[in-house]
Amino acid sequence: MKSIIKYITIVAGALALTTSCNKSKLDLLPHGPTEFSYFQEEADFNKAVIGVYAKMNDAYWFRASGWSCTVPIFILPGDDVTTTEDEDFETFGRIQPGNGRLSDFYRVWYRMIARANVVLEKIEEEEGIYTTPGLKDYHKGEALFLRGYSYYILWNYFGTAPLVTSRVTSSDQFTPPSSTGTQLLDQAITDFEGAASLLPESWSSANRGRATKNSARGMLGKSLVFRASSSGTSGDYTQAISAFDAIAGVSLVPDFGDNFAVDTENNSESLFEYQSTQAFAFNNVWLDNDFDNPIGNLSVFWGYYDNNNGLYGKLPFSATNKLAAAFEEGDPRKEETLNPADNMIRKYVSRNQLDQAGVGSVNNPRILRYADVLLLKAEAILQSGGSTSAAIELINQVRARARNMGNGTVPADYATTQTDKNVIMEWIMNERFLELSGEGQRWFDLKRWHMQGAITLNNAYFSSRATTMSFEAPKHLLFPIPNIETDVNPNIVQNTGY
Amino acid sequence: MKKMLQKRWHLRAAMLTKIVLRMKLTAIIIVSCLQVYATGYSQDAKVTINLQNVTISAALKTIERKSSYKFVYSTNFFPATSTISINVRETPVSAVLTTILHNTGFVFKRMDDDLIVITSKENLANADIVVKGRVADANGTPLAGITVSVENSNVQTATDNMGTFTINAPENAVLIFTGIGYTTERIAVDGKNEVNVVLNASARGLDEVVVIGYGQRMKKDVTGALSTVSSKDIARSTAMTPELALQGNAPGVFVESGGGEPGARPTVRIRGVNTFGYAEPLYVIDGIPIYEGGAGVSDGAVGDIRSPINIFSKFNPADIESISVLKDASAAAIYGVRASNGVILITTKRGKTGKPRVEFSGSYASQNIAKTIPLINTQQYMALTKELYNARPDAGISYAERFGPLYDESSSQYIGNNPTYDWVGELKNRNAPIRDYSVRASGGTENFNYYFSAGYQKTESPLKGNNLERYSVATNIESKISKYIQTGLTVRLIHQKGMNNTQADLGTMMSTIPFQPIYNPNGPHGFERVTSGSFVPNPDYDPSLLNPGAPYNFAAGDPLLLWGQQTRYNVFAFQHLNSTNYELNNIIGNAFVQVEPIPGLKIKGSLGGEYYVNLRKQWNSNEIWMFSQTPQNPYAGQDGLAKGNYGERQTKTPNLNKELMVTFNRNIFNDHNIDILLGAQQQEAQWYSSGLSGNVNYTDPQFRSISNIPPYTQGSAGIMQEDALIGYVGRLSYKFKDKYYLDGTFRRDGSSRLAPGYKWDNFTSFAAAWRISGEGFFPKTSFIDDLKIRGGWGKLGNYQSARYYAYLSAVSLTPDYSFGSGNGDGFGTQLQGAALPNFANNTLSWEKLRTTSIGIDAILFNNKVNLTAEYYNKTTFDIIQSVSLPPNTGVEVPADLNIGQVRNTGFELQVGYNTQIGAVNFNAAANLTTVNNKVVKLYGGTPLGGEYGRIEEGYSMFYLWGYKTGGVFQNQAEIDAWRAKYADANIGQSTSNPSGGYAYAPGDMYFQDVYGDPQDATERYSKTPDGVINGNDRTYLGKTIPGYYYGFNVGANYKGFDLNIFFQGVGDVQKYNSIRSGLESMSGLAGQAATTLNRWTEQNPSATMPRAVYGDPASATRFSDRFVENASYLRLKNTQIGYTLPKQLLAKLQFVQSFRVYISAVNLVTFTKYTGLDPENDLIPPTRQLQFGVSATF
Repeated sequence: MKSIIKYITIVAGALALTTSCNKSKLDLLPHGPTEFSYFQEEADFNKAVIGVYAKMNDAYWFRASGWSCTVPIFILPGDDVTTTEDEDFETFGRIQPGNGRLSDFYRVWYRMIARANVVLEKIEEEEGIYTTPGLKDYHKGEALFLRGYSYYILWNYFGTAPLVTSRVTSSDQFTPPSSTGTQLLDQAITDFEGAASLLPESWSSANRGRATKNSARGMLGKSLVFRASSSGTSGDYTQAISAFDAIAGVSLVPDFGDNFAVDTENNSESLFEYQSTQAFAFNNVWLDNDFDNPIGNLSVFWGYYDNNNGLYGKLPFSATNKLAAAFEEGDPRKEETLNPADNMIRKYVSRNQLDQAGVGSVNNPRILRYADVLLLKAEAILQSGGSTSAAIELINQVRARARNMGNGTVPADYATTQTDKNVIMEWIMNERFLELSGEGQRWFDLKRWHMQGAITLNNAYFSSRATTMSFEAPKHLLFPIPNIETDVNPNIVQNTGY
Repeated sequence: MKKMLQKRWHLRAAMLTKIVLRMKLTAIIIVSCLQVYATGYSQDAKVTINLQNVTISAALKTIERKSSYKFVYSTNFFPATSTISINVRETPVSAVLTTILHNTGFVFKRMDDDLIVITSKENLANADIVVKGRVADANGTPLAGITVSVENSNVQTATDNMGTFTINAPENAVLIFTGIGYTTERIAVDGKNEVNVVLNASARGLDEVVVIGYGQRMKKDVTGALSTVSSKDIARSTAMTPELALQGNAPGVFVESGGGEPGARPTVRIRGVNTFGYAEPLYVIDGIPIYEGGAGVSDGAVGDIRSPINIFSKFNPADIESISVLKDASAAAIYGVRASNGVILITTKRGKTGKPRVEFSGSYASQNIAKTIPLINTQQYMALTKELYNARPDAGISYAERFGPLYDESSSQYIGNNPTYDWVGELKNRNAPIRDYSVRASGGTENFNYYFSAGYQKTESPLKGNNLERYSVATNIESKISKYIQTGLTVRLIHQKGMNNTQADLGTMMSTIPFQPIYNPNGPHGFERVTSGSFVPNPDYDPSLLNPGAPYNFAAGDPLLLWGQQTRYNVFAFQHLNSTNYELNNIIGNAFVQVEPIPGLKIKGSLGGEYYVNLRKQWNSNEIWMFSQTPQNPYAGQDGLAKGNYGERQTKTPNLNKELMVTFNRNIFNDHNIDILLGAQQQEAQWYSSGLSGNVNYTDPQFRSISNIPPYTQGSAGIMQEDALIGYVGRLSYKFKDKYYLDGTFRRDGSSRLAPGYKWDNFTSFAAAWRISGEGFFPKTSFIDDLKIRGGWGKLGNYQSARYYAYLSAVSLTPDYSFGSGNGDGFGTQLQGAALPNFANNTLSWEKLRTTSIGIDAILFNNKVNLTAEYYNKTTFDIIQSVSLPPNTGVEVPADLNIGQVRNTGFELQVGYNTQIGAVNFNAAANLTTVNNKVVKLYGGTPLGGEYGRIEEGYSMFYLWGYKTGGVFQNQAEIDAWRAKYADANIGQSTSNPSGGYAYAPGDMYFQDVYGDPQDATERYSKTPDGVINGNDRTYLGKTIPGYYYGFNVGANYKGFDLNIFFQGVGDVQKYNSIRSGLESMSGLAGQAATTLNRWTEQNPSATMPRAVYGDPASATRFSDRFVENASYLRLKNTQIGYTLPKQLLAKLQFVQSFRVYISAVNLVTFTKYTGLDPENDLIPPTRQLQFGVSATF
């Protein structure tokens, strides 16, 4: 019997030789890099950080489908820019959770957050790969800065969008709840604080455009001012002042117009910009921005300002009558900002550089510049009960630069003797309007000042040229959480009124 | 007794050693080994021995030592007390043995060339006798190919063409005669040397052997749901590809032809559609699971690389013996993770014991597209375009200004007087031939059988420019090396050439403007140009650059379309100048060794595989711009000398399959039978692709070679797909007295495609059957001859819906960003970034299908009628749905998650009838399958897919989703009344502003207000109509999964004549006629169908065909029920009349055994309400064919 078993075993064994099953054969791996084979050298981390920045491409250019360029979300809601077109972000009343443009916009920032979270996780995990002194901190700082910036944007537009601070690796993480209060802004502040401590003061000229300590300090201060004006925490103002005070080596450029010109990008006034450029040899403007190197397009869409928009079948965006009328006679900024003849915006357009006829521009949008910082600092000083003259001094710095670029005396300095806080606040608000109009800052300011009680937006018409304005506060202070989120995430509470 | 048994086992084990030794040789060259074997019994070796007073055992051992013989005997045969002496020199062993065994009562028998069995005389007395006989049917016609086997042994043979057989059988043996289509007879030999048998035709043989997963079984013993199609039905199909033979022949199997293209892929769905992912069944050919790279993907880059040629067209259907379709879990669970969509087992022909048999079959068919859709001619076209423009002119622009001088009656270029050119007719390849020839040689002895075949088929497409040619060679050999060991080899070589140069379909041709000419004797290559243009040198051209730009550009204002805005490319010039050819080479083979150490226990190892190479050669002439409606600068990316672009792209698919199966089948205490299968299987397959293309500076086709294409070369290469699969299978079948059956199947499968920790899963099924008719209480006189009730439950899997490596986070290196601008440099440097865009689903598992199936099989009315009725209920769980995750996750590409749930339920009915009326044998068969498909669950309840195929909870998958037409406004009053209540947001209307948006005119079509906008976030639309027609009003318009499908055939034989008529049909199904939606749009300049002559006009009001109006302002061509049609059909699929020459006549010819000629008509008539070219395929419909064929046996 034993030998029978033996013989059967021999036969079976012989056959098994040809048919042996090796479980490890199931462990096939792709023939391209995966997470596990990547992140082996500093350059890999550097690319991952560039990948986070790259997500901004989608916010400034437009996506392939449906002309859902998100630029109108930046520039239309305020009272500085308008259009006669029946555009949702101009008229407010029809902004719906299903809005495609808004959905894309919402999605972009979370993708940027997700990329930042990956970088942060990978940096946390890495051991011994970084050899360049400081680089690991810089990279971490950049990821924190960009995540902070995303939350800053999300808080301003959506208020209660979910907070995600770690990489999504399991399906339990798909449906986080709505955030509440200033949670998103709090996260932005935390991230900017972290970034300010980690980032370098400056980068080599080849790396110009990356976030620096000053970028983080500026955004930190700005976020603190925003939090203070929405929640009334006066301590935030003090902290904002110290953040602003830490900014070093930054100054207003002599020519106001240099802030919107292609040849003077990343100048001494600039704290952070979106870095647009012309893509490699091929340039397919119809494709998603954050796409493939040879065909993607990293330019910016100023078509809405350029009055060269037959391509889009949309009327150009122009300055509001309010803005056109707001400039003092002789303020040289007026001519730089708009064409007085037809109110067409000139910022970014007059010294433009198009990369493809009528479509894209390589002119960087300035996200944070020192004039903005100075005015925010003035506001922080004023609101925290600091020296009114110091606050006025800061406003005057901005006015003096504007005046000096022309050959007149307008706009004249404000009297530093003024002590009426309301008057000075009016001055600050007015100066921000004039200085920053058309740069996508106005809506945030209006919104927070309304929350602060400095102004009221109830039934505001924003000097719109559209006939169908229907703004309601508080409903429209926050945009709806897009359907693409609420449809699949039951833990989200839609913003009131939508 | 026990000891004896052990001894006998020992004996066999001893043989096994030798078997193993021999296997080495066998494995090297089976064929040569077989030759050795065939010469067999080598010369009797001679020995010299001198032994005195030794035991017989010792003497035998000595002889064993001195020769190559092995003796098999029991030591207790020869008592130690009995001794012998022998002294011989160079004496044959047989003589020596005779001497030694003299008077011992034992004799010897040579079993093998070196194996001698010593056994008692009594045993020998019971030895085999030669039995001869003849098998005929009730009419006395000899039956060829009837299997004659000795009960409880492996001995079998088959009858030859004269119905005769010869077999060695023990005197007391029982012979079993089985043949497909006949009742099985059991005849006792009783020492007779001649046994003549008459077999009766059976409705459907219960004893018919059908192929099941990893085995065979008699039909009466089957517990699962399976359909079989025999070679007879397959032979009736003229298609190049075997799947089409299933159409209408196999209940539960839905087959939709891919159209009239020879290489087109049919769609095969078994018992409904299980998933919106990968829904193709698994094909197993002679035990090799077929692997196709890109399978299930028909569009996009993967679909393109997969190529348009159906992978199964490589199998010559003439080589197929049978197709078994495993439809439920109890039948298919043995294939585990690939089986959820059903399994199609294809078994090819094998040689049968008997005289060599050579068969030839040849046929020639001529095919045509049966239907033509009438179109408007040039004059009607001009009238229509004028009318549609006048219905809605652009402000201040006249008809002629708008469309150019070609449309201007006063212009010299006016084309309204042109003749009408028949683009459709010109594209048709009339009487496109199908040639099919094959020769098969087969035969065998008890120990060896062989089958060789060679085939050639060439099918031309019914449209010009395409054809597919196939050369195929197949070999199946099987050899019983000894009683205990069997080997076999199957090799199939296929070479296919496919021309794929049609470049258009009939839909495109129908919408071509009727006045555009095709040919011009003075034009380039004899064709009428489409585009004119001239070239100027490009000042920016820099040949030193990698991308040098073009040396010449079109001159300012060029190129110009010569036939106005609606100019169509000249497809015939494209066919002439360009070419796309495929060359496909395929080798598929399988070798096995099976050992049967003890009766009933079989150990089978097999190694199989496939290597498939698909080469595409594509030539695009630079002259093509002249014939293109979108002319490209031919000089781009070259130096100005190139004549065209040539590319070769190759895909390779290696597929290796290894199996080890152990089966054990035994009767215990007579009435209990157990059948056990245990095994392991491993498969590895890859799909590689590589391509190279570039410009060639010569026109000569000889120089279309990739060696001639530098310097402007583009290439790509990569592994597109890779899969590994390991499975362990087990099946335990038990039956008691052929009455009670129990089957349990188990498979454990692991797939490389799924996440670690989720790679493995178990698939089980159970089935039971009860043959009530086998019970004593079952009335014998009943009209029921046989009745079986069976039911099964089980679980199946499907991993193929999963993306590759969906469980890993791939690194994307595509994000770019720029740094370094400033100080006058506005650009900076664009840098490559990296991102992890996907969600690594580390819990990704496969789709799971649970099926329940209950059925009855009955044979009625004295074997005249057979009936199978079955109910099935299948639910697919965890369907891998590719979903966009909530945006908060930041995941950028859809993630594969196990989410969806779909249910299919239905009935299957199959009835067969067979009778003999005088000299006429009459048979009929019919089958019907119903399908009720319903989506049960989706991710977040959110519907998927668009108007052509919507997937929504509660509905049939892929239903048609769109607007419902309201009607056609006959006058202004109707418009006013409608507008008072409704507004169509799609055309800019609003309820609040009655003057907003498009203002209707009489003759415009309007649509129904079905639903309203959602009232809250929980609904996608409100059930309450809101007066506004917008996207929310899109609704169910029809289903694309047929509610039922059926087939029936009737056949009769009379003397030498045979007739078969086969119908096939599909019902309860709708289809969107997208060709008609273009041909009846009446909104632009495209060619239109003649039905538009009935369009609404004031003089000729119509309630269904709206007015012609430029630009379709009322959006009448939106996706609506206007173009949804009933796509049910009943087709006279095949009508065949054959005549077999009488034997007497052939006998004079000596070498011809049988000779049959036939004529058949395929797709002769189609009954359908569908108005398109064909309900199955509108673009290249299945053809109507007339076929002549002969088949002969020598």
